[in-house]
Amino acid sequence: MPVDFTQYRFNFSLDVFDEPVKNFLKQQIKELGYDPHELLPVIEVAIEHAKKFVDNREKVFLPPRILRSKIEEHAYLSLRGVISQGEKWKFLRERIKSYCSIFLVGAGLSFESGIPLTKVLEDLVNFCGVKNYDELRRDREKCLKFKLEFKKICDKKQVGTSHRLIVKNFPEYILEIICLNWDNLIERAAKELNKVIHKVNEDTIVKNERYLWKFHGDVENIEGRWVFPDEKGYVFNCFLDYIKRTELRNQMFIFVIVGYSEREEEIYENIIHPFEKEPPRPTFRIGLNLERLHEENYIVGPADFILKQILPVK
Amino acid sequence: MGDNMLTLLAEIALKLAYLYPDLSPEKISDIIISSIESEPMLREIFEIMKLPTKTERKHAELKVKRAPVKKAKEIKQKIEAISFYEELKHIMPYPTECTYSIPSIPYDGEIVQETPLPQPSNANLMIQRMAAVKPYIELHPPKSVETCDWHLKLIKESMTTKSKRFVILSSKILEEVNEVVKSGQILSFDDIQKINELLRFTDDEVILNEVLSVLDMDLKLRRKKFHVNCIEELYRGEDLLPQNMRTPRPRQSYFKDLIYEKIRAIVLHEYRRFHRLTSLEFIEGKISYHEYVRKTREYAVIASRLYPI
Repeated sequence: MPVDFTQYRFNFSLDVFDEPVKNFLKQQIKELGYDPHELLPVIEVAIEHAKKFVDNREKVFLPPRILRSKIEEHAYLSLRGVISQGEKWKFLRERIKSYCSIFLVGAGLSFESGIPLTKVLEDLVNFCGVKNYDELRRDREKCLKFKLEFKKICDKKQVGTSHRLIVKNFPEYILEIICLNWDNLIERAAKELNKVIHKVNEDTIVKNERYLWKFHGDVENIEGRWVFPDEKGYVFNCFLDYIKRTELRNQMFIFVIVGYSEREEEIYENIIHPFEKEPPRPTFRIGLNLERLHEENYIVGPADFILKQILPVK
Repeated sequence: MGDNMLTLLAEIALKLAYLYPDLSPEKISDIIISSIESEPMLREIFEIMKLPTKTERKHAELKVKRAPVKKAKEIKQKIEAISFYEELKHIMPYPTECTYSIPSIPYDGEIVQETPLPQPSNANLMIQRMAAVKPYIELHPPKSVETCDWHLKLIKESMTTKSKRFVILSSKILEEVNEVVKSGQILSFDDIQKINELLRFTDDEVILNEVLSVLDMDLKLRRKKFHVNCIEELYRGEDLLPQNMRTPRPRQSYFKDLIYEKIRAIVLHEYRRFHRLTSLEFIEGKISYHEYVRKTREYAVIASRLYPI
């Protein structure tokens, strides 16, 4: 989010520092022995965070060069914090190795591949001739157009490291994958790696075990139901039966939530709450919220970078 | 009004004259008067300055012992106010700052008052400089505070005496900063402050040349110790700003421009170094987030004061 112009203090927008600060941080990350491209999303978040920090606190006049250094140094601190999570990575990796895991993945997983996030999806909604998701749900034709357009966008995107890593660790260390994204990047990664992953993208009876669950819709199932961002989320009844039948709720596993905002009620009540708290299980969240950096079970970083650190099969 | 009162006012006037060379003696008098008028505490101190001598204070203390409780409390408060003034005079190199340039800085939603940072070594420097220039300033106080007819008179001295005094003072500062770099240490914010002060009252090319070589040595040390090229690092980013928004840099003499460029580089690097060290302390859990915020903010404020514009 751009920082407002603050005429009375800086006389210019802090956004002018974005590019040089980004270059500075890339250089610093390189010097620390990491690939700056892997950390790009977190670099951007760190810069925005630093600009807010400077904007909120500096009521005194600072020369632009000192101001810029302040942004650079504060953003660098955030990045050092991200890189210094080694203990957390190790802790989670060891636990996944010992107990296996269930992954719940949201839009953050596909962000680095360029799949549009909720906040930019509205452009596509408008492109399809409707104003909002409600109108889209009511108009079958336009809804179909929306799905097809989204599929076209997906087809142009590349499979990311995180998708490949999830596939490689399934089902040995990742018992179930709950994917709330419409894209088919995990499936494409499986094809690339010649691995068979059974997918459930419709609420039907399931007999076997170890699946990729897609409750919210799938570009490979255009006719099926898609859950839009303004809804409460949706969980298949067959999934609820499945966890009863397989006694998954009573099993010990590590629950990992990647790039998901947890705003959908249905998902929280039927999956997150029972898996995390009934009975209590080690639950880890991976995201880009720098304010949660100090939390023991929250790992800050882009999915591609963090999954590389925490998954046993590289 | 006692002698101490005069000394204090002369110090304030001198400091103002140093900080703002364009201010006329009349304007300086106005500032002093307005500060007295706008600050009840200072006014109170000034009013009770009839008691500043040692004998008078002792007398007042005796009075406390003998006086009834209410009166004793009143006198005690006055003594406290005097102690406050004395303390202020000793720790603050800029006595006027605490009266009319207190910035309010929101700190986690709360409004806090930022008091100027105590800089004991600078205070010593100021005292030396005041001692050197004091005989050339006269401040005529009003008969009472109410009349407000203060008058400051600058007595002109012969150029030779003046330059002789400055040379002595300059060589002292040069000696101090030279010692720092020769011992393999880098210059601190305090050292830069000293150099800044020196530059304010000299255009002597011999002195400026020496300052330049001290700064060069410092930059060499920095490159050796921290593997950075400060000068190259300096201008990155500022070109991004539209021309009219860039930091204004009026051209001075050739040497002064060179010196200011190097000072900018050193201040910038010193600021980054401090910030980085504080960040590490925070990452290692040695200090809290609030402490990190406070410290880094403090560094930014000091760096901004020293960064030549």
